[in-house]
Order: sequence, then structure tokens, then C-alpha cells
Amino acid sequence: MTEGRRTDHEGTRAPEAPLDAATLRAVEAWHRAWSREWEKVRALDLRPEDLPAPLWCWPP
Amino acid sequence: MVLAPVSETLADLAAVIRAGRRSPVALVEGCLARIRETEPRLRAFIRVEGEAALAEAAACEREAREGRPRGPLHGIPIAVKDLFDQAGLPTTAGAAIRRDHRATETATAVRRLQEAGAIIIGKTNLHEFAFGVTSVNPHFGAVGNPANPDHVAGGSSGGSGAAVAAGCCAAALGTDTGGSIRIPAALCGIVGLKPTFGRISRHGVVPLSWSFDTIGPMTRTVADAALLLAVLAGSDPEDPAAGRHGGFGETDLGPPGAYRVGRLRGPLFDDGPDDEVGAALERAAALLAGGGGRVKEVRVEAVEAGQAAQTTILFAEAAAYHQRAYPGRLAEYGSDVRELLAAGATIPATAYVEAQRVQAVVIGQVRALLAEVDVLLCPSVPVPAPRIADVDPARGEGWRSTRAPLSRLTRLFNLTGLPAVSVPVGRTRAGLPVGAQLAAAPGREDRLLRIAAVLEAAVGWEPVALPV
Repeated sequence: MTEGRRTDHEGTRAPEAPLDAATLRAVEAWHRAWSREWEKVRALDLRPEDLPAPLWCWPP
Repeated sequence: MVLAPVSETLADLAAVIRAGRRSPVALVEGCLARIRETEPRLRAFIRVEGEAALAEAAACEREAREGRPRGPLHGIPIAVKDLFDQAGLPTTAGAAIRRDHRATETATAVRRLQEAGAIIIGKTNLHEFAFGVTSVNPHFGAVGNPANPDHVAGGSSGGSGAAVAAGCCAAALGTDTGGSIRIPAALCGIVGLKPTFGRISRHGVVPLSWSFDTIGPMTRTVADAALLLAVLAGSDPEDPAAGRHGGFGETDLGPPGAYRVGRLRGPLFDDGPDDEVGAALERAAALLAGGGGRVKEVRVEAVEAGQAAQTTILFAEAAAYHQRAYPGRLAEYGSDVRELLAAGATIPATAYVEAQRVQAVVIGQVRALLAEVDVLLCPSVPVPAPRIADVDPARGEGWRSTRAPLSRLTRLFNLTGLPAVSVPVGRTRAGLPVGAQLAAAPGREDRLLRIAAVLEAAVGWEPVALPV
């Protein structure tokens, strides 16, 4: 059951279950693709003063 | 064939209801008949609240007769994505894992619609947990595109897009984290508005990614989107991110005067748009120029790094939200969402922080561009709606290569929080709709929607519900 916004699948932590081999292979492939995309971030040459700033940090 | 019951704008429809010239009961009955007719092919709804909607309609009819309209949406049937809580009803989020959920509160956005007089006719199908762009849902069926039900409606708000395009309701609510309002709007041939981040309260909506989740209207016309935004926008003590940009009162979309359009070029934007989509965007740019706009080409230098940052933040936050149930109950998730959540859990914390630093850089670049132009222009989706059979995870691997193209051009505006709207600008030779996307500075939905209305009028798009 839920209380307010909490939902049934959030309410109780499910026991850990191992991922199947197919999912693990897919995740490895995803991570390789993500790493290639991440090269664009490495190439950006961020400055020390570039702060992590989610949208709620910005003035309207 | 059951004819779609709505042909007017929401404002005109509300006016004839208030004046007693249109019966909300007949209107709701028309929507329910249309849903019954189209649902076997569209699978747009997870739940239809027929009896409750008819009872509300009868009350609205009585109140209109007595001269006591509730608000600007009095008696108008609206559908909501099944990600929004309605007290007493399940919010499935399109997931088997939540079939037994019962909401104890009503989402602020839904409550605002109801207070304005809207009748909630049902809850629409979506990509499981809104974590996908096709709405091919393993638990509730694949949403069909009203233009051709063998093709996807887009996602994740696919049921809302299909329901509006097929004339099953007058308008719908969607959510947009990486394009989930604009993608189905474009693929189904309707208007989809993702407002500025923080315009509309997210209280009572199942999250996907807190940094980007945005509520917005899916409608037949730009004027309808403006009216719904006016009802929905504003602060809410239950959502600390809401209300930074205040309410919205610009429902009368007059001419925008002189305006400047920045046509986005460079990586992502020039990477392989479909020929017919490319041609439709050329026409849209020409129509905006013909309507008084000055069009020039612009670039966002860090757009590719921004795309990587948006992926990183979204996936990490989605994995965080699901960590209590995943992977413990992994068998209850669809195979694609199962993989994506597992992938999100592999993102290092250092990458999440770096992604937020990149986000700030891209926000700065885009805000600088918007000092030079009033709106940015690009296709909403670079390809037409793919066939369901080609992207169904149960039938093969096609979904992996489809995900990135469908959301390629929408995610920049989630990363930067800008208001962005998809406007129908034509169809492919096969009859599939094509949308153009316009984005404006934060809080400038007034400017955005006025310019979008110029494009809508110039295109001459008729929001006629398709026969299905």
C-alpha cells in the first residue's frame, strides 16, 4: 500500500537478485557506447570555475 | 465510424458549453464512443473512467445551465498520462510492478485541471516508467499511431499523443524528460509543449529524472496549449522546483511582431535527418521567414558533450529512483527498461558531477544564443514514426538503434530547461506526421507560442482526427 507519494515498489527494499547474463552483456555494450560519447565531455576542457549547476541553480 | 467529437479550440468549446449550446454529457459520450472504436488498434488508454466522467459531465451541464461554470475548462474531457496520481485510482506508470498501487492524493496538475472544470476521462498508456520513446509497452500493449496503427505513436507519452490525435479527448497531459511530450506530438501530428523547467508542479507524478522531469500539455492547436499552460502553471508548496517562473496569462496569442529565428546547425542537427523531415523543416523555416521572421543559422558549440551529460544525469537518477525495487524485482520490468536501469547503475558519481558541470556550460552557451534570436528551430524528431514490429523488444534488437535518433533533437532543451514546442508541419509521402520544434528563453512561453502560432497558421495544418 502507499502512503502519500510513496509507492508500493519504493516502500520495501527488494532483496538483491543477480542480473542474467544477457542483461549483463547488454549493459557492458551500453557502457562502451556511453564511454565513447563521454569522450566529448573529456574534450571540452572544463575550467576549475565551471561549477556543477542543475537547473534550479539558475536565475529565472 | 464514430466521428471525433471535438473540432473547436478549447476556448471555443468552453464558450459553447458555458452558453448551453453544447452538452458536456454528449461530448463525453462522443469521446467514450471514439475510444471504444479506436482502442483495439491504438491501445492508447490504460484506464477509462467512463461512469465517473459521465457523472461529472452531468454536473457540469447542470452548473452551466445555472450560470456557475467552474473555470476556463468547464465540461471539457481531458486524458492524463498514467504517471499522474488521482486519489483512489492506481497510477501504474505503465509498469506491471505497480498494478496494485492506489494513489492517496491527486497530483497538483490534475487537481488544477479539475478545478478549472475539466473532466478527466481516463489515464493513457506510456512507455514503461516513462523510460523510453516508443510506448511499446510489454504490460499494456504497444500504442498505435493514429496515422497508421502499425507504426509507433512515440513516447513516452504515446497514449496521450494518440488519444488527442484520434479525437478520443479534447487534450491530454504528458511529461517530458528527454522529449516525451514533443516526440509523440510530432509523430502523431499534434502540438506538444514542454514548458520551462519548474513552470508546473510535479507533485504527484512518478519521477524518471528529477533534474529534467517537466509536465506539459498535448493539444490539437497552439492556442489550446497556451490555455492549458495558463491553468497548470504556478507555484506549489509541494514542489520546491515549481513556481520559479510564476503563472502564465498569455492565452490570447496575438501577432509576435518582428522576431528572429536561429536555425540550429552542426553536429546532431545535421546528422542524417530523413529527407522528407529535412524538406519539411526547410518549408517551416521559409514559412517563418515569410511570416516576418529573420532566420539565421546558429550553433551550440558544446552540444555533443551536452548530449552525453543529459544521458548521464538521466540514467543515474532513474537508477537511483528504482534502486529499492531493482534488480530485486527485475523479472517484473520489461526487457528494455530492465537493461537501461542496470546501465544507469554503472555510471560513476564523478561522471554525474562532471555532467552537471557540462550542463552549466551548455546552459550558458544557449542563453547567450537566445540574446541574439527569439527562438531556436530544428526538427522535433529527425525520422518518421518507425514500425512497431521493428522496435518491439520482444521481437528483436531494433529498439536499441531507434532510441537515440528519436530523442536526438529534443534532449538539448531538457538539459537547458528551455520551453520547447512541437508543431505539426506536414506529412511524409506515406502519410506519417512531421513536427518542427521551436524553443525560447526560460520563462518566455509567451514569445514561443506566438511564433509557433505563426508557423501553425502558415502551414495550414488541420487538426482533423484521423479515421484510424
